[in-house]
Amino acid sequence: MMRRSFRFRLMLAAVLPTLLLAGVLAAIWLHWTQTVLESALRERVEAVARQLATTSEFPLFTGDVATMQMLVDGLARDESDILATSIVGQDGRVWVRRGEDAFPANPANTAVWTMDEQGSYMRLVIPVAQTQLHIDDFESGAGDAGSGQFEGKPLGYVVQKISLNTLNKERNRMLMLGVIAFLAAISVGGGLAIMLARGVTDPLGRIIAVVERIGQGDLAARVDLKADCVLFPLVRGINHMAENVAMTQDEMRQRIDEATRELQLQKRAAELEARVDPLTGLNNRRAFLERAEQDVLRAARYDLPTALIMLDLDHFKVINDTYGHPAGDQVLVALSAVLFKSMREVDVVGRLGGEEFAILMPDTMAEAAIQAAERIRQAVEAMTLDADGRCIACTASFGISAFQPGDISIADLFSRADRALYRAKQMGRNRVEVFNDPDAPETAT
Amino acid sequence: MLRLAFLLLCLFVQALSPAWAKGQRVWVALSGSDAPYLEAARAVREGLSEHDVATRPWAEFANDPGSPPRLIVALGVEAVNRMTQVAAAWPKVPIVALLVPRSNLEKMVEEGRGRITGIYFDQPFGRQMQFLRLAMPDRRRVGILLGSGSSRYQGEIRQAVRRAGLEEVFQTVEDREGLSSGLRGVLAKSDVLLAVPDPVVHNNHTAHHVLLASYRQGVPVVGYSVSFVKAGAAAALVSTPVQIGRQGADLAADLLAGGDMPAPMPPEEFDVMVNTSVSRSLNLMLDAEQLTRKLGAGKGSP
Repeated sequence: MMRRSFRFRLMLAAVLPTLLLAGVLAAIWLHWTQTVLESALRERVEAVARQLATTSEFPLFTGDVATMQMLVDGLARDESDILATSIVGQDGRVWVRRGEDAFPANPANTAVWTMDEQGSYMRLVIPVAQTQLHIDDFESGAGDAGSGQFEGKPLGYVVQKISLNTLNKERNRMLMLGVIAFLAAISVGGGLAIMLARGVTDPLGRIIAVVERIGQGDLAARVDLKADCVLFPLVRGINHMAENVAMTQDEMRQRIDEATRELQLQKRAAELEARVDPLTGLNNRRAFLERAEQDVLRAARYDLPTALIMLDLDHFKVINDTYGHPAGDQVLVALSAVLFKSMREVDVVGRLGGEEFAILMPDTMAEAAIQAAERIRQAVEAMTLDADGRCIACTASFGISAFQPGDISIADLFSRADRALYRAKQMGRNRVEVFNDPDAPETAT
Repeated sequence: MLRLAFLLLCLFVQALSPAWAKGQRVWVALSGSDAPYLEAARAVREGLSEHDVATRPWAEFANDPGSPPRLIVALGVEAVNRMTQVAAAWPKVPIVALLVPRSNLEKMVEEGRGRITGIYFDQPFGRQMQFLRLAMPDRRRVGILLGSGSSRYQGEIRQAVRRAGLEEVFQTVEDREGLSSGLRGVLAKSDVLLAVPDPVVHNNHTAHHVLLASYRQGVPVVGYSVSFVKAGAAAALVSTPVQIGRQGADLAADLLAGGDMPAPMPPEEFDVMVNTSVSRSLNLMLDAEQLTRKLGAGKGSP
């Protein structure tokens, strides 16, 4: 839509000067021809009439009708535009005439042109003046004395009636010529203007289309125009710009990909970190569960003995409340150290939460697990921590479960170990309990 | 005794008056500042060199007359008219009119407008006839157009024509409308047209027609001025302003010396003017010099 109005505007800008110029020239031509033609006719007719007036002065004076008629007839022969000629005396008497005409009532002392209403003819009345000669040597006196009656009065008049037919025809012809020339000038000028405008609007239109596409995201769009196009610098500029934008985009994409990869790596690292309990360095709950699960699955597949120990620090809340959290943390850390020391490489040790810990012992019978748990219990009991001069004593309770055929996941072991732990808590804490079967739990000493 | 002495003294003074005629106050009034008036005025002044001559346009005298002069010389019709008005208060002061037509001057004298005389520029008819006989001996019929101004001289003209052995053809023209037929009439019967100054017949407007009509009939026109000859008259007897001025000065001097007032008179000196192209076209062999000599022109002749 906008493109069309733009093209129209440009064409208008190109055509308008031509239009204006052609219009002005046409107006001048018309005016000039109209007025020049008429004034030329008038001059010609007036010249003829004046000549007739001059030559008819003497015949008029002598009343020589024959000569006057001859003069008048001679005139009609030469001039086809003259409809009527008459020579009229001072008193209005028509001496001779050729053609029909009327004599105006009050003639003036100078040449007078009149035109009829329809504009079909004009009339010229020229006074026939008496030639004046100087025959007196002394002016202002003798010779002029009797000339008072002669002053200012012409001998007679020459009246010419002229047809305006030819003039009007000529005028119309000139008008037609002017109009035709004007139209031709406009057509040619307009055509050229449109061609020139097209030379700009067409490539411009293509450029606009490409820019729109680029704006919409198609960075591969380029303007395809020859180097001789008038807007070529613009074309070149836009193409370069699009290329630069595309390149930058690729770079950016690359950078984004890199950054994403980085981030993923970081995420994995973070995730990795998320597997370790920051305080104790032991596996966190998830890590423990994952690894433990794997061992259980292996145990299930190859029918290997596996044991799970769950241990809980006794009265941990009290310790925290009494000695403060930092002291509590110290306890946890000490416990972890004990666990680290006590366990084998293959054992999976983890802090499940708060004061809850768990150990999965692959390839281990229940009895060995009990012994290990007992050792840890004693070690924990022996722990002494110093918190602001006060001595903290801690103990832990243990619950053990062994892999049974039919176990398909760590959850099964956990539930039994948990029940054993509960029993240990119930029976006074600081003990190790094993889950054997629901009805006959075995007690370790 | 005393009375006698006084009487004798008066007589003596009277007798001496011619001597006292010198050094008189004279006004020379001009109708205009054209060359003819200036030339005539100079001639008058030179002729009255012993006297106190004031030369001015008539208006200057008229606006501030002051004390009257002893004599007034007026050049041209307008000056003559105005000066007669001014001098109406001084009936004793004579007026000498120069460069005026005869009819004008004689009318003024008749009307008794003061003491007026002068020299008109019309040539005497006898002189004209003598000229015609010498210049165009074959042309015996003399045509004259008379108007209101010149018709009074009809008798005089007839006499002069007859005395010269020529034939006269008169046509009287009442007004402008009658000029054409009058011309036609006179040209049909004449061999030469003598132009006698008349305001209706011969003026700047009619001259063209008169000359053209005459020329077409092959009738030469004898005019009365240099301009007329230049305009197409075949020839003319003309007195120059200087000649008239000289004669006027003599007349004035005479009057100042106590002479009588004469009647208006024609000029004594004259020249013969010829239009060579016109005269040649009309087959007239006119030799101005020869004619001048033969006529005794340049000096007074009858």
